Amino acid sequence: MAALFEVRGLVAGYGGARILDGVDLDVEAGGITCLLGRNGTGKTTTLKALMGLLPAAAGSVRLDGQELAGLAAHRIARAGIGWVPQGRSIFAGFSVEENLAIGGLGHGARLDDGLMERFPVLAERRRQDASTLSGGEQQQLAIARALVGRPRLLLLDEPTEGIQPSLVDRLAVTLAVIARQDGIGLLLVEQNLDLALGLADRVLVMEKGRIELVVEAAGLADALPALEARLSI
Amino acid sequence: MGADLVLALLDAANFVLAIILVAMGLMVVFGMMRIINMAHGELFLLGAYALLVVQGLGGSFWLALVLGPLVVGLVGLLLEVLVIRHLYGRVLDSILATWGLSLLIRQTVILWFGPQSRVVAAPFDLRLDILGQPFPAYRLFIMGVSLAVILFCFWLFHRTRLGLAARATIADRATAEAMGIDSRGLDRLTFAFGAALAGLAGVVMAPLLSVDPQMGLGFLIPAFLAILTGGAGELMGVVTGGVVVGGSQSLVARVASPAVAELVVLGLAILVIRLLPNGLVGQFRRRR
Repeated sequence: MAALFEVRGLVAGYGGARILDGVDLDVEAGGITCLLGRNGTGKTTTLKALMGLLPAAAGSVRLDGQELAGLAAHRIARAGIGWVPQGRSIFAGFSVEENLAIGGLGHGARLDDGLMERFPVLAERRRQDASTLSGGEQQQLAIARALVGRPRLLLLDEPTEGIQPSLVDRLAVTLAVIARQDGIGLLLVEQNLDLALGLADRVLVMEKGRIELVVEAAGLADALPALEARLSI
Repeated sequence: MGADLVLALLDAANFVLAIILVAMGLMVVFGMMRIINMAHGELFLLGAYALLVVQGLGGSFWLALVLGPLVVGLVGLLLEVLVIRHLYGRVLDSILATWGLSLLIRQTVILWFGPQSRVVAAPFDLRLDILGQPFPAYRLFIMGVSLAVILFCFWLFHRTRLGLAARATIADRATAEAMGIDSRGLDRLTFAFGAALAGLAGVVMAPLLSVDPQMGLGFLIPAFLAILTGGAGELMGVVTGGVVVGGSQSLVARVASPAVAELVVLGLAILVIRLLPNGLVGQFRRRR
């Protein structure tokens, strides 16, 4: 059976520099694929290219069989890909509610109560300027904002960055629920190895713009030394 | 004395609202897209000539009031697709290119209609008695149109989903795109809307002015000053700037002379821009 999301031979870069040199990866519906790697290996570039924020020079990106490579970012979003960017990119000066509404604008979707029940902090602060939220709350907002458009796949770039350690576990639970209960596929870029290993059912290690190591959940224990060797600085 | 004061304030309010009416489209385009549209005055001109053509063909002012903004909005759409879209993020280039467009439009108008000035009729020639002084009702009509445009813009940008999408796109274009918002489509729409506002202002103001190929300039300069003084990028800024620039110019012109008034307004604008580079409203927002 084909995976929900299939990427084959993705090539992209800035100007003349080729950052991604043929990336292959799969994400299943309800699955969590975690992309690891040292700084500067092309993880964020991969997500940007998949979202269409950086043009793909070559390769194929399929969601449920629909080819997305080469489309404008808003078309890729509307096809069912949710975006939770690095640094969260909350719309400052807009209320929490407006931020959530923005997530649904291009999809003709409105905010529903079920989503708000899942993020009680956001429900409490609906009218507050989103830039006054704490880092953890902003991260919840970024995730909720992406869910308003009812995506089939979420791209998340370092969601635990800048969040106090006590909240990281709760964030992990939120992500697990989104994948296992809602059946949304997650492609997660993460520096936090423990979180990645605890959450993912597939771990990819990136080096120099390529996926150099693929480990399925069942083989994680055996592959740990190899993983740590590749990620050590 | 009381009547004089009321009339002076009414004149000032009239001038203020006329400036805001002209500046609104300019503001929408600059605030939303960071394009300084030097051709705004010529889009205003096209609105006035639309009225001239419609009246020449026997149509009414009210028909022109609908057709003018529509036609100028379509011209704006065409300009966006052909020229403006290549200029995003290039403020200086946008000044040069839109200045070129302004020459092109003005010369085309001269080729078509000739350089002479013409007169168009107001839809009604009523004079109201205000504290014993006659005041043209058409000026009150202009004030009403301007207020309606201001309220409509606030409603559009702050109360509708389209406005939310437009504001999100200005705030963070890439993220807005990744949320599924068609930022290119919004660019086209916003520029066309700004042009349509210029066209509307042209139709409405034409009966008060002589319609000639240079008519755009008289209101364009105070409109630019109003935007810079109030704070570019904020709807509230253009309203505040319009009040400061238009109000002081009109009142000083009354107690001194129009030439002194222009000097005072320019001096005031330079002072505000020097001391508050983000404008009156912009400065307030940033300190919040």
